[in-house]
Amino acid sequence: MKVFRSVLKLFLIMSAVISVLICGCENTTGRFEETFFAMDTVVTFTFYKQPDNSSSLCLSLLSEAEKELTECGGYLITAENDGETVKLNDTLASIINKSLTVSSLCGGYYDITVAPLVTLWNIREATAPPSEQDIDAAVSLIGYDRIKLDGNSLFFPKKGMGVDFGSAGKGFAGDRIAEKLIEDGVEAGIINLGGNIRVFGENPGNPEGKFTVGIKDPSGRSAVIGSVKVKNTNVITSGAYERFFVYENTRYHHILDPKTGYPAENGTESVTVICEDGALADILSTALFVSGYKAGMDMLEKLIEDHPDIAAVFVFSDGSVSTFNTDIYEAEFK
Amino acid sequence: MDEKNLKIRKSDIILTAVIVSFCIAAAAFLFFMRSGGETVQIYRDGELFAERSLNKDETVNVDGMMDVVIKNGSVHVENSVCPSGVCEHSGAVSKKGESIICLPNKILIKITGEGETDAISG
Repeated sequence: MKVFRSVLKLFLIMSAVISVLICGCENTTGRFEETFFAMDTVVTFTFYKQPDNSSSLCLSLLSEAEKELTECGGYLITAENDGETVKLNDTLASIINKSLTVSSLCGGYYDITVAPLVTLWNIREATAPPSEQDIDAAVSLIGYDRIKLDGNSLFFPKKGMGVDFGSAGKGFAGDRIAEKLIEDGVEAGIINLGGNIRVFGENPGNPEGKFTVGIKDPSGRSAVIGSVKVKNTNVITSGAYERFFVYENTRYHHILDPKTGYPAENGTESVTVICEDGALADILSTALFVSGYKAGMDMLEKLIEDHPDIAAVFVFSDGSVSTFNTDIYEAEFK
Repeated sequence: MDEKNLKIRKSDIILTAVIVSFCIAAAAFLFFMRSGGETVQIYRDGELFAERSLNKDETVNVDGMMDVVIKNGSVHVENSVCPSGVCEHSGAVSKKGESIICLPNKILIKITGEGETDAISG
């Protein structure tokens, strides 16, 4: 009997201890993730309440966005004849408009007509840089002020000229997919399109409903260099580390300078832009990367008049960080 | 209640000792879990292919396309069939939120765990 009593006591006390420990370990907010390979990258959706048929829903939204971006000929549209006019859909026309605004603001450091250069370098498969002659030929076909957008008609004066939607597409897709998910009754979530983050709704794990988005450390010494707290917006980064090849000990990355014809080298390793307008955030992160800090800050000063929610983080090769308007997102850096 | 029942008995001492040692072991276990509870997730074409602890040395072969090597708390790729070898060149990752991506083979390797950020931009 005595032995039985001791065993019972031991059992009860241990049960109490175990239940307390289990409660302590439990995740306070459940997260559901769906991962896909789409839009030439890895796409992860995070939900706090799993929507019905979440996998097929996410896939159909991704393919719809991709279709909108590519239905006029692909992410790259190139003129096959002199004086060619291409009919665009409303989405692509609005992206061209935004890109033209940014191009004129930064004096051509960003240029959506960089397509011939992108095709020539073909960074994904290249193992050596193109010849100087070929680069000069491609650069001669670049010029945002030479194309004309009239309504939805895009006019190319010369054969071989083209536009590249690659630097704006994911930003647009994040906004479009978030919009559709909200229409479908999804209250909150995160859409991660290859490191371009779109958050929507209220984060149930934060008293103010904000999402903490880390900014990747380009050096890889730590996972992040800092973070921002955001709601219903985009956090989009352009980094030299994303795509590159090494030839004779030199790194050639994928963000090309339309003026020189070579990958932009100005001491910037990555630029992160926060903005409600995803396409603009995506375009700007590339524009600021190519223009570099000084010209970039001038551009941001002009843009903030119309877009007071714009903020940017520059990370330089030496590991230092410069910010613009990040206080509104409670930015913290290590 | 007679006086005999109030005395500390040998069985009580044993019981106390067992509970205390259990608590110490549980605390040590939790401390270990929290300081290194990261998980390595390997996705193949969007589907979770394997999930392993970052703290246990192991090599996972992904459909004969690559070996994911977990060693000393970090992850790297070996023997990739992919000609560009970008995933091998991207080196080792060890921190929560970091990932290795092989686009041609549609393989994603990422380190997850409880943490301060909800997502990472980059």
